[in-house]
Amino acid sequence: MVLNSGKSGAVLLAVTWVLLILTGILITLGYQAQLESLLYTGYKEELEARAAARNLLQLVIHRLQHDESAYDAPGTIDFPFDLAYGLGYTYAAEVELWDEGSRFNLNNTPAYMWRSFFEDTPECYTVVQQWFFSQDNVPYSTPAVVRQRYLFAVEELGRLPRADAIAAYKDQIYPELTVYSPALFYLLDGETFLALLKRTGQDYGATTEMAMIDTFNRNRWDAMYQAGLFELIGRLGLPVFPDIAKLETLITTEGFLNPNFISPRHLNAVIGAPPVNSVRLYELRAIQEATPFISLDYFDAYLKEVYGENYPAYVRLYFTLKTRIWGVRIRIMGATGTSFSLTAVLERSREKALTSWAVKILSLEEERVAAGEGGTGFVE
Amino acid sequence: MSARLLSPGWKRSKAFFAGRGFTLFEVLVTITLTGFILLGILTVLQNATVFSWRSYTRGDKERVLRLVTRRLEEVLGSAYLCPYLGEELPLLTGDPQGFSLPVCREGVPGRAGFVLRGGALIYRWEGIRDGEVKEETVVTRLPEGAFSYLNGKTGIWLSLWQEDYYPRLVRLRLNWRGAEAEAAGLLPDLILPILVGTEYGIE
Repeated sequence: MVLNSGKSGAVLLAVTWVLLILTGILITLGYQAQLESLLYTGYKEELEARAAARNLLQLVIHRLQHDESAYDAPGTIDFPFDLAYGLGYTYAAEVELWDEGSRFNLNNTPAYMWRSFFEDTPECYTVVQQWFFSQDNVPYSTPAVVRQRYLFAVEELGRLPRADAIAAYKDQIYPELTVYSPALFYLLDGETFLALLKRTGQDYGATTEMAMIDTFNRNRWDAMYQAGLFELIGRLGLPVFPDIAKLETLITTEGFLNPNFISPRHLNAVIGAPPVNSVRLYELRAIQEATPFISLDYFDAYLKEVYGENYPAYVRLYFTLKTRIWGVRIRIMGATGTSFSLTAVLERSREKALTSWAVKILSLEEERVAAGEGGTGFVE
Repeated sequence: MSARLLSPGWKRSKAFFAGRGFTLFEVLVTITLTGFILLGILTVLQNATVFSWRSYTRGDKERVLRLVTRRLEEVLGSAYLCPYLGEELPLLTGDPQGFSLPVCREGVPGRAGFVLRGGALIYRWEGIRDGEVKEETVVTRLPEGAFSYLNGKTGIWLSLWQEDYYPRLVRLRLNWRGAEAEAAGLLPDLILPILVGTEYGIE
């Protein structure tokens, strides 16, 4: 074939152009279809992960409701995948459970306990105390008699004025703090009690406030026994009788600290510093892991070892072996690692008439961990 | 001519390259065939383009639904409730034009919510500590829309919510005005749960 006539090249060029145009059009259309498909697939995976996490939370709640064990301790509260699989769950996921209620709550405990809690980090105590009690946002302002602020989340500590003092101890302190536990009546002092009253909407004059604090602090030792809130507050002889119905949502008379999860720092705060030569307090973590307390009598024996014979008998009112406030973290594993995370705080309680536990969701936080491609198709 | 037409291709090529050229008939047949082919191609392309555009436009509705669902789920799925803070933090407040509720993201407490304003759905954040307000338009071209709230205790949908507990469900009814006339219309209702505050095993 002779190719240099100058005419066969025109046909070849025309065919090439047509093919190029067709290819271009097909690529454009194909790209649109691929993009749409990718967006939809990403969104579908996200929905599936969210649904899977919420389903697993329901299984965790189911398990907590039907828990017949005598005590909760490290090792007994795990939620292994085999258990989830046995309940009909097949998604790849991790579940982490912890005792949120046995952590220390700065909102509901007296300031003198904070000093014990932050014994080895006094700069943290100073920052926290000043923030809670300052009447304005200026550091070193005149402190108020009653705390003026409350933490909504533990992580807020990192945003307080002069929070750099706390930042260094963040990993050490944050896991031992919570905002989700109620106030325990036996651990209150006059100031904390008045702060709780104010949180229910009560407003008193300055004189009445001082009288309330003083009366509470004087008479509280007459109310250190197991009874209902109405009876215990009745024993205090307060100048103004508070609205018990509102207070009952904030204060409990049922101990909720679990000796199998409480930290030495927290124990130190609620009972007091042990004698100088006592080393058993710092063995608490090892004891909880290896030989958990299966009855409060064992814990009582441990406290005697740590504090000697002279610690007060009412301390037993603080504790329970069945965890009340639970923390749950569920991680749904996608093809490229964790794709969705759900963190919840649950409150478990049992009324006398009920055979199983009642569980209430106090908090829920859902997060897409790996925000990969896909999604809604809109720029967000 | 017929002999030429019937002659093998290589012979014709040979004649062509010999400088004899094409007959008028050959040229007309070629042009006609090319015309048919191009017409077919153009029709297919036109149909494909129209189909693609229509499906893309119809997809707008779905994308709006996906976007609004995700944004609502992000907020409603992170509702904050700490009963041991007392009356410090009012829970969900809402009306047909929008709602706000407390959320705590990475330790920052604030009120997050959505407002239907000027034909747009707007996300609104208000920091509790610093009072910082941020607004972000999520979707535009919404001529109508209304929120309502299901009271879990009574089972009734309400257009106003100011209770001291969370509604069981939040519903958003939207009327979408797409770029194409046929894409406009009512979107399916979005009904999303608020899990926080739910109690299990309470008889």
